Amino acid sequence: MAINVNGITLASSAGTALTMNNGATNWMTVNSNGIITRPQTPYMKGILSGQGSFYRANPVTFGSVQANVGNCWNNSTGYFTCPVAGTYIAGLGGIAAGGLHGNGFTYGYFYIMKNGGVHHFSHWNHASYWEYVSMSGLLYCAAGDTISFQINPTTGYWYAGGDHGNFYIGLMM
Amino acid sequence: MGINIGGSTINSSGSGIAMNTNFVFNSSGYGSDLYTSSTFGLVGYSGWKDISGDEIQYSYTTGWPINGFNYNSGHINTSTGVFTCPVAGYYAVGFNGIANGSQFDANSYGYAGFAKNGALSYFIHWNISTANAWNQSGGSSVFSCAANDTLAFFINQSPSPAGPTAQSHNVGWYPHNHHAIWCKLIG
Repeated sequence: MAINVNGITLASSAGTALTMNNGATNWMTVNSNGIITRPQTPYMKGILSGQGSFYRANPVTFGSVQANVGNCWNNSTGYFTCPVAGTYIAGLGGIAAGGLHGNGFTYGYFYIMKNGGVHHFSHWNHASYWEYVSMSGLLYCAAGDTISFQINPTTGYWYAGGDHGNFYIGLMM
Repeated sequence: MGINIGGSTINSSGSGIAMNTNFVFNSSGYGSDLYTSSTFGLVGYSGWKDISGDEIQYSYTTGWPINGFNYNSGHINTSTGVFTCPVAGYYAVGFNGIANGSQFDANSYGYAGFAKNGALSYFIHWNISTANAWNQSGGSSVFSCAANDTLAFFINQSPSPAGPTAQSHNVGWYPHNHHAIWCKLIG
């Protein structure tokens, strides 16, 4: 059975799952166990790999963008543009280089940014040690707001070799 | 065009669809639960403890009293840090911040974690001995909660474990917005 709500179809396959689609793509499924999936959910994931051995920047861009559902992430500019209003989760984690880079800075800061302003940030300070640092936070955004990341461009570095340095943004419900 | 099911509505303008006005899919199928001042579809918060001008690293005997917010649905007590779940469901939590070594004549190690109804679920630990060295740490988890269950973040205070020096000096994480703590109903 299906119901057409002005071009949007709500359908149930013999009572086993409820789906919602626009005729071309599936927007949501509630399966027979009540599990909800939304395959069009805007989401991105990137890693620093390919940005050299050591990296710092504002905004951060990635050597490898591993997911970009909805094409909201622009890796040329380093901005994720929110397509709809809602709550977004953003997170980053990587290895801070302490004084190992040799530029004299054993410390640094890293940020989750909204519309170019600081939303959340944290700090590391370890002389001559590798330290894994991470942060996640929620952002309530309007459509058109931007989300980006910053590794303070004037102090310490993160290690960018291999597959180190993981970043993500996704729309939550 | 819309459908009314016992007062709950499903409406479409032809380009998207809205369920009970707050659960909205746009024309690309991007779904979100919209927040307004009178409806809290987006249950949760994301914030920090803000003590402008004070550099003592705090812990608290209640919960970490988060009073700076980027997002707050209104279910957290900003004095005690205790979040009360408005509905039964799964709640994701996350926390990241920085602890100092022995700069303030305090214990160089500590613990932090989220407690549900006052009982600690799990915790993290740091141990750094060098003065002026900052240790960045954090974690995340998911809790299954009933309506009116509470979730709160504790640092170096019961129910989280802590060394006696850390407790007597009431030290923990660096405040201001150098850290992020969040909670979100996810299902």
